[in-house]
Amino acid sequence: MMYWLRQSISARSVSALDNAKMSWWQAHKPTTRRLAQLYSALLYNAHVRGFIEGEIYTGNAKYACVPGFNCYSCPGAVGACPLGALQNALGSLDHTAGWYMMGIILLFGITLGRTICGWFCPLGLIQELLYKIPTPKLRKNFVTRALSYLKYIVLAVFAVGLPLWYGLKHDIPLPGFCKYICPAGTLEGAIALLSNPANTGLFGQLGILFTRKFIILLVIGLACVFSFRSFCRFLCPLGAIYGLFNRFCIVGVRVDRSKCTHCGACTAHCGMDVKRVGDHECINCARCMSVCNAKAISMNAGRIRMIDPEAAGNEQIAAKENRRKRMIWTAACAVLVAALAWFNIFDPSLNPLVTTSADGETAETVEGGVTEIADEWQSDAPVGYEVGQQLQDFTITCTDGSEFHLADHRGKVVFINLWATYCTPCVMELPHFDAIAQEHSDDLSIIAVHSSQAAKGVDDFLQDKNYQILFAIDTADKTVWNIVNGSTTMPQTIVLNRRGEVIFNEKRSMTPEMLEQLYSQASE
Amino acid sequence: MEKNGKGVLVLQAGICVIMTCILAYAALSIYTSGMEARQAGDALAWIYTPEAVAAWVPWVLPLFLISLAVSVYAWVKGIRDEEAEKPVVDTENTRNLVSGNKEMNDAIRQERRKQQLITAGGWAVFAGLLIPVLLYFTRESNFPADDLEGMFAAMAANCIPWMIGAAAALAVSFGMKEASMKKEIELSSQAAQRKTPGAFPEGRTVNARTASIVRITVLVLAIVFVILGIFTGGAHDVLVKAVNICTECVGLG
Repeated sequence: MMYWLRQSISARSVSALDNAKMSWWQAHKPTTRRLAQLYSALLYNAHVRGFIEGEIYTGNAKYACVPGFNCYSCPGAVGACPLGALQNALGSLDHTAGWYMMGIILLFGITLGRTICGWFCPLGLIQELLYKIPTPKLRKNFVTRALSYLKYIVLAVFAVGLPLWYGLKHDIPLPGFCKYICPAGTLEGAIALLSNPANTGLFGQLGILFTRKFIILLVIGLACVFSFRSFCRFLCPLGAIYGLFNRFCIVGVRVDRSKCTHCGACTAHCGMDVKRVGDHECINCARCMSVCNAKAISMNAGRIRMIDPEAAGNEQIAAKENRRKRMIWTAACAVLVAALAWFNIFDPSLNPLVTTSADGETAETVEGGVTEIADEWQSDAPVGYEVGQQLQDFTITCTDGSEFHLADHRGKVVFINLWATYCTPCVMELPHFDAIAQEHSDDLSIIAVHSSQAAKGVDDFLQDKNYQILFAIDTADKTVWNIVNGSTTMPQTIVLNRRGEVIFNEKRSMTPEMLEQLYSQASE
Repeated sequence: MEKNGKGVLVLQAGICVIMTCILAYAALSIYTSGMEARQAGDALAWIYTPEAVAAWVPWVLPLFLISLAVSVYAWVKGIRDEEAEKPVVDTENTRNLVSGNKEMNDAIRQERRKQQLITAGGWAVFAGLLIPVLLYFTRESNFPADDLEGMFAAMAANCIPWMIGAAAALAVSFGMKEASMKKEIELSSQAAQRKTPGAFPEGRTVNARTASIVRITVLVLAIVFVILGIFTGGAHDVLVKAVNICTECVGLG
C-alpha cells in the first residue's frame, strides 16, 4: 500500500515537474511568482540613488510599512519594515504607535497572510536564490517540522518580550530581534551602508554586535543553501505572525474539498513544513497546483480565482486569466516606473534634506549675541565640522529654559551629543556623559541635543533621570544638526577643544573610557 | 544527472562551507585584533577598519569566483540534487488514507492511543522545557538597564539551551509518532477491508460563513486601528524611526 502511494505520487510529480524533456529556458525561465518577488524587492527599494549616495531615504513614504521583510535602514528602502516598526511600537507604548502598527499588521495579515512570504518578501527571494546554488539538499522531515515552531519562541522572546520589558520598565527602546538577530538588518542595513565609500566613518562603530550579527547572517545564509527557506521556516517572527491569519486571509490558495482525493501530492511536493495546504506554514506559493491531478487547488482573492487549475485545459478560462494577468502587470509596471521616478528624482525630501517638525514644541534658536573671547582661546582654523576646523557658533534654548551659547564656553572642553529617546545606544550612553560632566564640572560643558523629530516625550523621559548635563531640542530647521553635520545616523558625538576646534566628530556609541580619553585629548 | 554530477554538488557544498568558515573567522579575527588596541589603552581605536576588511578579500574572492563558476557549470549542465525534488510523503496523510478503508482492530487502536499519548507528551515536555525561559523573564534582575550586552549574553546562556531542548523534545515526539504511524499503516494494510469506507479526517476547517465574518471583523478593526493610529501620532512615530538609523538596531555597534 505504502509502495503504491509512493509510486503514485512520484508518477504525478514526474509528469508535472520533470524538466528532462523541456528546453533549458523552459526549465529555468522565471515564474510569475519569481517575477512578483523581484518586483516587490525593487518596489520596496526604489530609492536607487541611496545605494549610490550611501544615504537612506527620509521622505514621507516611510509613514507606510511594506508588507514583507525589508530593513528600513537599507539605503534603497522607501517604506518602513513592519517588524521593526512593531517592536518600536511595543517599546514605546506611551507614544501611541501601538494602534497604528496593530492595524497595519492586522490589515496585511487578513488580506494577504503568508502570501506575503511566498510572493512579496525580498528576504524570501534571497533565501530561494541561495537554495538554487547546486549542492546536496536537506529534505524536510520531522526534525524540520519541530524546528518550525522555534519562530514562535523567537517572536515571543525577541520581537515582543524584550521590547515590551525594556520599554515599560526602563524607558529604553530595545527592538530585540532587530538588534540581536535580524539578518535583513545586517545585510540590507549594515553591510549595504558600509559598502559605500561615503560611509567609511561607520566602520568606527563596529564591534561585538556587528561581529555576532555577521556570524548569525553567515549561518542563516549557509542554512538556506542546504535547506529550503531556513530562516522563513525556523526563525522568522513576521512569518509567525502572518501564519496566524493564514486560514482566514483573503488572498491565498484554496482547496476544493469536493474534488480533493487526499492523495497528499500537494504536501509531499511542498518545500515548507505544511500539514495541509493553507495551514500556518503554507506560504501560498501555489506550486502545489501543478502537482494536483484532481485540480482541486486554486489561488483565490476572495471569490475571484487568480490562478485557475482549469485554465490548462480550457481556452476561455486561460484567455481570461491571461487578460487579467496582463492588466495587473501593466498597472504594476506603471507603478514601478512612477515609484522609481518619484523616489529618485521628484521627491522633495531628496537633496536638500527636508524633514517635518515633530509637533512645533521645539526650542527656539536665538541668533548668538556678541561674546568677548579671550585672546588665548581665539582660533585661526576655518569654520566647519571636520576635525581641525572651528565649529560655527550657535545659541539654543535648553529644556530647563536657559540658553546655551557655544562661544560662551571657549576656554572649556565642549561635548555635543546628538541623541533621541527612540535610539537605544543614545539612551544607554547618556549616563556616561553625565558621569564625566560631574567629574570635570569646572572644565567641561556638555550639551545633549535631541533630534527635532518625535521630541514630544523628551521632558517626560528626563523627568526622573536627574542628569546634570544640559539638554536641548534642535530647531525645526535643524540648526545644530546642520552645523555639526548630523545625519540620519545616531548617536553622534562632537568634541571641541578649548579654542572651539573640532577634535572628534563621529557617529558611534561612547563608553566611559572613550569619553575620558577624548576629554584628555581636548584639554591638552 | 551526469556521472560527475554528485561530485560537482559536493564540491560546491564544500566551497560554501569553507567560504562561510573563512568569513566567520575573518570577522572574529578582526574583532580580536581590534580589541587588542583598545585593551592597550586606546579606547577610541577602531576595531574594524576598511583596510582590515580588505585584507581578507584575497582569501574569499577566489573561492567566490570558483563557486560562481561551479554554479554556472551546474546550471548549464542541469546538475542538481534530484533527490531534493522527490516528494516527501506525509505519513499522517498516508495513515489516514489507508486506515480509512480498513477495519480497526485492537492492535491498530493501541497504536492510535500511543500516537495520542506521544503527541500530548511531546507538547507537554515542550511546554515544560520552556517554563525556565518564562521564569527567567519574570526576574527583574535579569534585565538590567545599564548592561544590554551582559543581559543578552546571560539570556542566551540561560534560555537558548532550554529553547533548543524544547525543539529537540518536539522533534523526538514527532519522530516517535511517525514510527508509530508507520507501524499502524502496516497493521492496517493487513487488516480486513471496511464495508463502508470511513471519512477522511479533514482537521480543523473553517466554513465559508465563519471565514467571511472573521475577515470582515478583522478588516474593519484594522482600518479603525490604522485611522486611530494616524490621529494619535502613531504613524508619525513609525516615520521618525524609519528615517533615522538607530545604529545598534541594524548591527552597527
